[in-house]
Amino acid sequence: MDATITGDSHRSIAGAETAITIRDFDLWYGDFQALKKINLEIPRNRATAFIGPSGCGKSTLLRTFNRMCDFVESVRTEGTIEFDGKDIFQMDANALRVYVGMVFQHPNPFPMSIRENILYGPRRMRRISKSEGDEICERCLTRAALWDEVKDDLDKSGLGLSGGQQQRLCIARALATDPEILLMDEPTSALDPISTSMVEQLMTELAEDHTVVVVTHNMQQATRVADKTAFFYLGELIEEGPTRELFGNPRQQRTQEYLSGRFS
Amino acid sequence: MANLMPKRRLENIGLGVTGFCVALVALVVVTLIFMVAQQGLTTFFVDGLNPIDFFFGQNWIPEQERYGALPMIVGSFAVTLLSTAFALPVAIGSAIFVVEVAPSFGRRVFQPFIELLVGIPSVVYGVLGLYVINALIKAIFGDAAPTGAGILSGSLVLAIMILPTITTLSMDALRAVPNQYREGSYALGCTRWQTTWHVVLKSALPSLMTAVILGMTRAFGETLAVQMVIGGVERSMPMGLLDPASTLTAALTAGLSNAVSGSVYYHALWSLGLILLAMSLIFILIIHLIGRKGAKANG
Repeated sequence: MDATITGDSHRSIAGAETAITIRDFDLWYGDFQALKKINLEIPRNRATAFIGPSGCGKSTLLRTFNRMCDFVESVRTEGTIEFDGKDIFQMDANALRVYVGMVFQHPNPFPMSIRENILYGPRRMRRISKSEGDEICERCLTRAALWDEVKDDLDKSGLGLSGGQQQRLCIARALATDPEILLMDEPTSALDPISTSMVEQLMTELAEDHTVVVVTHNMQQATRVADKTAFFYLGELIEEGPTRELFGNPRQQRTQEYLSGRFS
Repeated sequence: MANLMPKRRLENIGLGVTGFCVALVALVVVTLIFMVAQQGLTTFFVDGLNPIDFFFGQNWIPEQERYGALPMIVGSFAVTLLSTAFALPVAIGSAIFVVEVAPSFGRRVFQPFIELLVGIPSVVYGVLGLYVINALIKAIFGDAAPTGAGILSGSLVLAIMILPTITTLSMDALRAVPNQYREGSYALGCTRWQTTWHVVLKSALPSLMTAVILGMTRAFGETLAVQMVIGGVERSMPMGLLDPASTLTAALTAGLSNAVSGSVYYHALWSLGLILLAMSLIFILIIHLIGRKGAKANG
């Protein structure tokens, strides 16, 4: 399989500041070590892709960034993860999650109207007036490229939308709390090709003023959207670097083998 | 090809047996409704009792040929509503705790515990009510409740009886809420209580309402335990929660031994049964309406 780089959307990561710093990070589920001594820097306002075979730890690391892993029983960590110099394990998890939005593998709009879905996050933090609510809805839905399709149906259920629309609604919902970081856990694996390309387009646009981290099984997707790519295998970070370099000229043999489809 | 024939015969037998079962159930239900309706309506169409006197009459004194069912109708509704009001907060509260806060404790300890409550025969609740709750009410209210029997005692006993029903069904309702709703809410920075209140309870609402209605159905239909603690006074209207009263079910059971088959009294008892039947049909109708509305809201 030829994973050549097609897009020209790649931006240099050399000049970018670091948004997330991971140092000597280990994570265990009970006795099983899911992440081993991870050292990685995530550039600010760029898109970073985590690739690797199933069970390699890429989703676990992503879910550590907003501490969703806290909900797993018997999880234990060592090492540090810092946002702007602040250790996320010292922060209040709820405050952290306002600042770090997440989009899941399966679109999960709440069983409420489109408007209520968007305003769900902001309303838990403060009172939202009618006009401010309208403004947030329009801004977030426009940003998620969904406004034109739903602007007349804001009071209809979010569950009535198609899968691709639901995922864009979830992106809009995540944007409503003004996060600086957006985590996406295989956001297109449940979508059709057209919806996938719309969401990929969105990721590229959002990465202009958000730090986007996306976990993907799809290597082409990484080459299309990510400025930086990190390859994980069996809980270890094997190789990381600018997407163009990692795909064009992998240094590690495992990376080469994975990219050429010798294992998956 | 040769194998096809026995297979087809099996299909036909299967269709026949299961179809017969359905027909049997339908026959039983239709017969039951027909019989109760026929006997219950005899009171009005043959014996000539005025339906208005029956439904709104405030005295049930068969010796004087007075058949006003209002005291029992009021009694039944009062104990049903009150017991639901007592049981509901506790049931929903504990369901939230064991599903959202301590799921493993819920499954291992609480679930078997609550299932035990469901299995206790109602006469045990009745005895408990008679010796504990009635005595308690008597001790608290003194002369206002000379025997302790009354609507309040009946409601308390019923509340304990329907608590496990509402709790188990509420637990099922909360567990049926997809986990991805909770994840979505947490990922937006919401706390557990915000998530429980705004997402979990909201999306479980139709099923929770079904749980409540089923609890009410049980309260409305319960006979023995209520009969033991409510006082069994049908002759006049209860004027307060501490007054001895009666319910449709209790009056029906109490009257059976006295009524001569074919008499007006006998038919009037059937009419009470007809009211009970109508009420359970209404409860089931409400459950179906909620279910349909819930299905629509959840896409």
